[in-house]
Order: sequence, then C-alpha cells, then structure tokens
Amino acid sequence: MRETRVISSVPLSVLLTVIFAATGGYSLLRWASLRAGVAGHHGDRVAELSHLVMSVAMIAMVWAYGGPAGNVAQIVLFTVLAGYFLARLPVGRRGARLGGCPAPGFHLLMCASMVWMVAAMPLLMGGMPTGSAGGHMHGMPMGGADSAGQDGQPPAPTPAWAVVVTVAVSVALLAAAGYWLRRAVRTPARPEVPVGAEVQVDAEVPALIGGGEVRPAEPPARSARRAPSRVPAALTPRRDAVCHLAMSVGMAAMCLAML
Amino acid sequence: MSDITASSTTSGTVSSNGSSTSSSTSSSTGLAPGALIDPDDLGLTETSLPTGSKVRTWWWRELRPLLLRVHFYAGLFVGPFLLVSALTGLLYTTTPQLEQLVHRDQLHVTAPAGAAALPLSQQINAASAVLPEGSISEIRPPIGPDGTTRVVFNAPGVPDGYFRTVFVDPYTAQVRDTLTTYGQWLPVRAWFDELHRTLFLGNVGRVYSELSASWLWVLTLSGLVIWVARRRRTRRLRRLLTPRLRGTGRGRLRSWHGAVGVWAAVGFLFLSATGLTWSQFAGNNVDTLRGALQWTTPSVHTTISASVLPDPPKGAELAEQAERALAVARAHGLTDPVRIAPPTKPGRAWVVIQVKRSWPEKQDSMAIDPTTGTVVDQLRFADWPLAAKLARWGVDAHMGLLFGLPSQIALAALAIGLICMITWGYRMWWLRRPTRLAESPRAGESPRALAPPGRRWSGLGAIALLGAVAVGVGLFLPVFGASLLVFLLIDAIRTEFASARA
Repeated sequence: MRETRVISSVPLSVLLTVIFAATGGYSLLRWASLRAGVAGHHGDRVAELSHLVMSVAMIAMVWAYGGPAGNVAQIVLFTVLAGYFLARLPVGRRGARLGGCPAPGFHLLMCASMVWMVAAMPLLMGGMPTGSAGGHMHGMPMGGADSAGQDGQPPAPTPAWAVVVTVAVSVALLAAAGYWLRRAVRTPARPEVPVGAEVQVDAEVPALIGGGEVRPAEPPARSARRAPSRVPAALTPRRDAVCHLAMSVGMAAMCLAML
Repeated sequence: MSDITASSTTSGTVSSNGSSTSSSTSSSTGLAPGALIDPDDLGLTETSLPTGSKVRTWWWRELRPLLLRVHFYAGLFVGPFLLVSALTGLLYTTTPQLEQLVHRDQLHVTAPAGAAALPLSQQINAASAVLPEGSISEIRPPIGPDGTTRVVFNAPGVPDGYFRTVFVDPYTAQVRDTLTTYGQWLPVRAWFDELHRTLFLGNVGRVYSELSASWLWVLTLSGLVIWVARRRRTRRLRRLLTPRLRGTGRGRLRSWHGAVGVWAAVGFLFLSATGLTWSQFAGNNVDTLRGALQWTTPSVHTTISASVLPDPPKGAELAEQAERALAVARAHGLTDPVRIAPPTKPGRAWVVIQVKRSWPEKQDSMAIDPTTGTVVDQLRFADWPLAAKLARWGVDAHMGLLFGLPSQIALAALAIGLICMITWGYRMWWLRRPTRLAESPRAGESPRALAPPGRRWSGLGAIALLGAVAVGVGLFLPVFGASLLVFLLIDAIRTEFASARA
C-alpha cells in the first residue's frame, strides 16, 4: 500500500475518482456490448479493455492503492498495450471503418502516458519511492500536498528532464482533450445506427481454445438478428468522444499534480 | 430491465438451433457410441425453457451461458495450477506422521525410570554451547515425558523464515541433533510445505499457489450454480448428488464431475479462502481488511513499566530468565504445550504462549517480567475476537492440525476429489473438442449448436455485471484480476487481428 497520494485534496480526489469511475463504467459497457455482439457501431475490444484498466489504475493512483509489484505490472501491461496500438497505427482510419480501433494514435498516447506516470512517479515525487517505503510530494500545484520531506529530510530535487517530459506528456494529453472536445461537439447526437433498426449480431468470435483450431466466423442466421436495446444504443460516438475527453483531462490533471 | 428483456427475446431465435438439435442428441456425436446421454448432458435443453419470470429467463438465456463460459475457460487454463496444488497438498496431508517417523530420533527420548527432567536453564545452556553464533528466538519445552526440548536459534546463513533448532534430551541435557527448521516444522514437513506453497521458486512460486487459490472459489461457485440450477426432468435430487454409475462418455463424466463437486464445494471454498490469507498479494489486502475491521489476532502487551529498563538478556542470564518465566506462567495456570520467547528490545517482557493447535485449541499467552516474577499482561484465547478465532481455526484446519487424523483424511479426500474433477474436466473437453465434432455426422449443423459452453451467446447485461464484479474482486485479489485481464486481452487482441485479416 502506497503511503502518499499524488493529490492530497480530498474533493479533487473525489472528483477525479468520479471521472475515472464514469470512464471505466462506460468502457466496461462498451467492451461488454462488443463481447455480446450487440454494439451498434465500430469498436475495438482491446481499446475498451485498456480504457477500463486505465481508469481503474488511475483511481488506484488517486488513492495511493497498490505497491511496487503493482507498478511493475502496470508498466508491463501498458507497454504491451502501447505495442498493440502502435501495430494498429498503419491500419488507421481504414481500420476504424472496418470495425477496428477508432483512434490507435490516441490510445498509444494514453498507454505511453500511463507508463511514464507510473515509472516516473518516484522521480517526480522527490526521489522517494511510492511503494511501501513511503514518499512525499515534491510540489502541489493541484492539491496542496505536504511538501515536507519524510523524516525531516529535504526532498530530493526532481531532474529537469523528468519535469520536461512530464510537461510534454501533459500538453499532449490536453491537446488530445481538445481534439476529443471538437469531436464531441461536431459528432451528431444520434447514433450511427438508429435505435430500433435491426442490428446484425456480430460474427462468432474465433475461440481462443478449441482443439487448436480457430473456427471461422459463422455467418449469422437471418433469425439471429437483434434489435438494439437501450444500453448499446446509448453508446454513441459522441459519448465515446466525451469519454475520451474526460479520460484525457483526468490523466493530464494527474500528470500535472505530480510536478 | 428493458435491455434484459430485449436480449432475452432475441436470443430465443439464436438458440432455436439448439432446439432443432436436441432431439438428435441421443446419437450424440463426439461422444462414445452407445453412451447413455440425454439432452441435459449436452446443455441443450435450455432452448425449450424460454418461459418464466424475467429474472429466470435472464438467468437461463444470458447469465448461465456466461457462467458456463467462465467455468470452461477458467478450468481449462487454471486446471494445471490447481492440479499441482492438489497433488502437493495431498502429499502434505501425510506429513504429521512422516515427520514423526523421519525425525523420531530428534523428537523423542526414552525417559529413564523415576528420573526427573533437568532444569530448563541447563538444557538451554547446553544448546547455546552447540550454536554459539546464534541468538535464541524461542524455547519449546517437551510436550510429554518422552519429548525433547527444542531451543530455536536465529543463525547466520539460514534462509529467511528458517531457524536452527537444537534438540536437547531433558534428562541428560545432551544435544541430540541440530536441524534447520521452518517455524515449528522439521525439515521433512518444511520441504513439503515449501513445495505446496512455492514449488521452491521463492516469491515467484507463491504466485502459482495464489493463482490456484484465487480461481478455486470462482470455479467452485460457477460450477455449483450451473450444476444445481441444471434442468432435470426426473430424479432431480438423486442426479444432483450422485454420479451416474452406468453408461459411458461425456455425460457420465459430467455426472461424476458435478456430483463430486457438489459434495466438495464447501471444502474447496474453505481451502480457497484460507489459502488466500497466506498469499502474497491478496494476503496483504486480507491483512489490511482485518486490521480495518479490528479482526487482527490480538497479542499481549510486553512493555515493562519500570524506572530502569533492562536490556534483553544473553547467555546464562537468558537461560535463567527463561526458566523463571516458565515457572511463573505455569504458576498462573498456563499449561503445556508452550513456547517461551525472550524480549527483543530493552524494557520488554518475556512472552509465554500456548501452542496447542488441535481442538480444543490452547492459545493463551502471558507477558512476564522475570526479574520481579510478575505477570505484565495476559490474554486468553477465549477472549479473542470471533474473527481472530475463526482465522486461527481456519489456518489450522487447512493444515490438517485442527482435528488430527480426521482432518488429514478430509483434506486428502478433497485433494483426491479435486484431482479427479480436473481430470474429468479435461477428458470432457477432449471428447468434445472441435476437431472431433467436425468429423461427426452433426458437422453440418450449426457450429453454435454444437459449440462447447465457451461459444454460446451471453447477454450484454450478464457480461457487464460479471465484468463489474470481476473489477472489484480483481482489485482485492490482484492475481485473479491480472490473470483474468491477461486472458481477456489475449482473446481481444486475437479477435481484433483476426477481424482485420478477414
């Protein structure tokens, strides 16, 4: 269990928790709709899972829940996810039209930011580990955390390069937030697939396990069509953009709070 | 709720394939010829049960397929880890007798007729002479007239958590042997203990046992729900609780898998819960939770209120104080078996603790100031909080100590049951593998109708509900959460790349 929090202000922590809980909940619904084959528009399960995990990880970071092993696991996980989104980059918009990840570049940025935040936290927070050994805040622009050193020791200075990288990451996240704000405003409120229209059930997912064979997707029978229910119909591109916007702003806030 | 209703309605058409095939299941393909199979065994009869309350329909149409999927995949992937845990646990159940057999020379002496045991201080001095570089951690006087005195040392070069224990004949003060021990366990039991906990892989190995403990309750609960809620037209209770003795093939295997699982479910849940309390990551969260709820095991206060705080004793002084502390404890009603722990800091008292871990447990403890012969503090097991008592009983039951041989037999039966269930589970999967289905006369039918549980539809509501539960549980049981996430990510990445190729 970490002993110090990135943000000492409880109201701000609660606000960020609400934001990340909302983004996590939305991602869970998006992933579940894709998994259940009732998503009314394109999506990428990996992106939704990464959003979900990222939201949970950010809440854990807000409340200083976790430890050194959790940090290592996060770095490995988000590095792998960053590799996936990097591999999806060439597909780009064509992939999105075909039902792939709608914004691999953005998701790559988010994963890289997570890796940086988790890895650089000891550096940014006065050279003190944030694991069980405890630590303290180097600065408190976002929450007014205690800047006194542990055991009366003066805080170790944060390397300038680490500050520069953190600022750059924050700026990139804020720029992404601007992009998603624009998307949220410009995207029509109505879903791509109107509520009430027939939506084909997604093709059967190739099973991971099945005697070593990946069964080709079964063409959905005509009778196997489902009318979208309210939940998947509510997962509109505009709300996707708002979710991305909230995630970007929240992460930028956490990033800046570490300085 | 409208979502649930909509999904339920629509999935009825999906499973119409199942309806059409259920009548032909007696010629079950992918199964042994002539097998006594009914549609229940193939999990296809749900297609004829779309009626009922919304909750029932939702359960049958959406949640049940998802639970089947979870049970299927979790069993497939965690099975090897559970198998290792069960095998090593089965071996561990034999260790009380094995320890007595292998280490009988260290544990027992022949008591001379009419002879009395020498003073404890003399025995401790004899032990210290053998291990001068060590510092005494605790002393365990003999339990019976034929037992040896154990003097336990912290010694250099001993692995973390291990000690050097000197066994002293209480009648002659002769050292019988010196062994490296793990807590109170002698080498043979310590070896099996380490095998069961870590496979001799240190902290990395602890992840294996945590993975087993983290998934055992998931498999147990999902399997129990699936099996109990299974539709049975006749002899419901009998088919729930007893395996099918006749017939061949997957249906019979499933009846054994299910019936044994029902009988063993409580035991599996108990082993999972108690196992998690020892685990590396979930164990920390359990400790934190217990601390927050004030469920921690209490301990006596050892601070001595004196103007001059004595330093921790050493050498002959330590031996004399140990003897005095034991005498004071016995005078105040603390009965054997006990262990005596010296103070580790200045101004602290000796602690004498009962160590009987079989029913009825003796866990009373006393803090004793040996210079004045006064009891600084005492704590009776009867006064422990209920949660702390339950934790003590749980740990001792998991280790087969609480009820002696009956405990060991019950644990061995659970281990054998788990081994059998895993074997039957894999056998069932093998009998229904997709390649075999593809060769069958039913190959022309809808793959979904023939699909194993992992291929059927689940509703959004069911997936989101279990997903939310998994997030919460995954935070408390990190190895469970991480392993589930890895599986879902691999599945998602494969799916996305497969979609891109298509």
